[in-house]
Amino acid sequence: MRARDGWLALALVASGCAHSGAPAHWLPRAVDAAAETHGGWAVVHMKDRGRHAGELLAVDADSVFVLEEGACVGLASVAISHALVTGYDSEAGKLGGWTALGAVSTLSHGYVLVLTLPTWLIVGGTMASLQSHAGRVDVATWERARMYARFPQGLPPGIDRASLRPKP
Amino acid sequence: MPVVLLLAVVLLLGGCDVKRLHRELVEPGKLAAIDQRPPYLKAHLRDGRVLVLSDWSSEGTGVRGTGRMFDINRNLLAEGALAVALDSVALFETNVVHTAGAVAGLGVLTGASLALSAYCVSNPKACFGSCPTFYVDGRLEAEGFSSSVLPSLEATDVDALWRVPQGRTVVDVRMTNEAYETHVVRFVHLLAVPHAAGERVFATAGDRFERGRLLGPPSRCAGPEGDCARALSAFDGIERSSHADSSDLAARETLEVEWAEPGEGPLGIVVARRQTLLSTYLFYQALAFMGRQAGSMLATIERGGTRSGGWAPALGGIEVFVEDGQGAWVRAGEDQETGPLASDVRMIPLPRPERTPLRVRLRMAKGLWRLDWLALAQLRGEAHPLRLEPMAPPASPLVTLPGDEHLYRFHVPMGPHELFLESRGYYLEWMRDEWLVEEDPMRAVLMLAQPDDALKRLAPGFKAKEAGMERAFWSSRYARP
Repeated sequence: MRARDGWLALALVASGCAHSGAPAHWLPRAVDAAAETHGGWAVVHMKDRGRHAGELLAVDADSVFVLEEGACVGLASVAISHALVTGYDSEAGKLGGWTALGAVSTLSHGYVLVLTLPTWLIVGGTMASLQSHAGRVDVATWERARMYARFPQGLPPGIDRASLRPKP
Repeated sequence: MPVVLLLAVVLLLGGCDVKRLHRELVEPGKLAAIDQRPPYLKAHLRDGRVLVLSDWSSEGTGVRGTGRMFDINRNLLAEGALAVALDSVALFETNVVHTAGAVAGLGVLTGASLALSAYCVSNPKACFGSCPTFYVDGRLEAEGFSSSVLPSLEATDVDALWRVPQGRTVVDVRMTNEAYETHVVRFVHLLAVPHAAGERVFATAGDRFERGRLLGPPSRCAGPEGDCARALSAFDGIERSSHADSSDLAARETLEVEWAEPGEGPLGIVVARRQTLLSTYLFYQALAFMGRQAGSMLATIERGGTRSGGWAPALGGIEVFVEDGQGAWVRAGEDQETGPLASDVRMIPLPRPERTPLRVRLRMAKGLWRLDWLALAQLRGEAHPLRLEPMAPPASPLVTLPGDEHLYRFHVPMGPHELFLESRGYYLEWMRDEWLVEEDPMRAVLMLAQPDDALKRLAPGFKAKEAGMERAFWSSRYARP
C-alpha cells in the first residue's frame, strides 16, 4: 500500500473495522465455514474502474470467476486492479462490544481525585480491528484467495456456467 | 460495573465465542500428511461436486467416512456413509477452528481497573509512560525499545550500562513495568565487550562497538544560554537542556564545543543524553486525537499503510558537525534515540581533525534533548561483544502489566568488560479517559501526514504545559495499590 493510500485509509478508519461488502448474514461464521460448500465473497476492482462483487467461484491461470447477481462472470486477471475476498464472518463486532463494555466498566467512582483508568480502548480496539481482518485476503496474488472459492481446484472442465446458481 | 457482571454480559453477548479459521488445501497425493484433527475433511471432486466428511479415514486409494455430498450448486445429493476414490479428487480441504487470539488478549484485560493519580488529572499528557525500565544496583540504567509502540515496530535496543562497575562476575538487572502499559518482551541479554586496561567501549550507529580511550570533556562549550561546559563535564546527572520554541517545536539550536588539544588518530565524540518529555507529549497527543478510534487507526498503521511520515524525522536527532581546515562545517553524523527516562551513552565517529583546536557543533531541536556529558575519545578499533543469556530466562515473549518486575541474573566472564543491555520487544500504551475529550481523528492523521505543520500548531499547547510536565510525569508513575 502506498503511503498516500495509507493516509487515506487511516483517515477513513474512523468508520470502524473491515467490511467485506457481503450482504448481511451471507457469510458463515468461522465455526460454520469449516463445513461451508459455497465460496467466499469477492469484491473485484478493475483497472477500467469497473467493479464486480459476488461469490468467488474459481481462480484459473489467467481468470477469476465470480457469481454476480446470479450470473457467472469471468474476469481476466490482467484487467484486475485489486480485490478483496472474505471467507467468513469474523464477528469482530462482538469484540468491539466487549471493548466498549470494558471501557464503560472503568467509569470513575468514588472521589474526584481518584479515577478508574480504562485499559481497553487501545488494546481492545486493536484486537477487534485485527479480528475484523481474519478470513480476509487482500489479493496481491490469487493463490491465497482461491482457498475461499467454491471450486478451489478451478472451474471444473466442461461445466455449464449458465447452470451455476447463487447461494440461497 | 462489577467485574462479575461485566463477565456475565460478555458471555451473554458471545464475546468469548469469537473464532478464527485456518484453512488449507491439500493435493490428493499428500493425504497421508493431513492432520486428522480437523472435524471435517472436504473432498473437492474434479467434476465440481464436493464431499464433506466427518469421522473419516483414508484407505489405500480412497477415503471413506460419514458425511454429505453436494452438486455444483451445493444441493444435497447424498448423505450418510460415503466413499471416494483418490483419482476422483482434485483437492482436499481442511479447516481448523480456534478461539481468536483477540479473545485471549481481551480476556487478560477483563476486570482490570486502575487508579489514576491527581497529577494525571491536571496534566493528562504528562501521565507517566515508558517502555520497560532496567535497574542495576537500584539505579535506573536503561529503558528498552522506546520507539516500539506497536507490534510492527518491535525492535532490538542496545543501551550502555556505563555506570555499572566493571569486573564483577554476577550482574543482576531488574526489569520493571512502571507505566499503564502492556510490555511484550522477547528477550533481554547482557552484552559484554572485552577491552584492554585504560580503555572503554562505545556503542555507535547500527549498534556497532568501538574500543577507545577517553580524552576528556570539551575545553569550551557555548550554547544560546551561554557557557555549558560545567553541565557537560561528567556523566553525573547534571544535565544541560533548553526550552522548546513557542511557535515551532522543530526549531533548532546549536551548541559549539571545542577541544584545545584533540590528539592524534581517529576520534569520536561521546554523548550521554536522553530526550525531554516533548516526544512523549507528541505521542500522547496523537493518541488523544485518535481517541476511541485509536485501536483501529493503529491497526491500520500495523497493516503497513503509514510506515513513512510522522513527527520523529521532523524533530530529528543530535546532528554533529566538525569544522574543517577551511572553516566549513562538515556533517559527521547524527545521534537519534527515543526515550526520556534513562540517559544512554553513544559515540559518533568524527573525521580526522584538520585543525587545532577541534571544533564541533551539535545541532538539535530546541527543548528535545537533555545532555549529561560530552567527551572526546581516541578510537582503537571495532570490538565484538559476548552475548550473555540470563540465568533461568523467562518464557518468550514475556508479557508484563503495570507493577510487574522481573530479575535477570547474568554471569559475566572474568576480566574487564564493558556492559550493554540488549532488549527486544514492543509495548502498548493504555488510553487515558482524559485524552478522549480531544478526540479528532483527522488531526491525528495530519500529525502523521503533515508533521512540519503539526509541530507548529502544537507548539503553543506544549509550551503551556512544558514547565510542569516533569513533576507531573514522575509523580504519576504507577505504584502497586
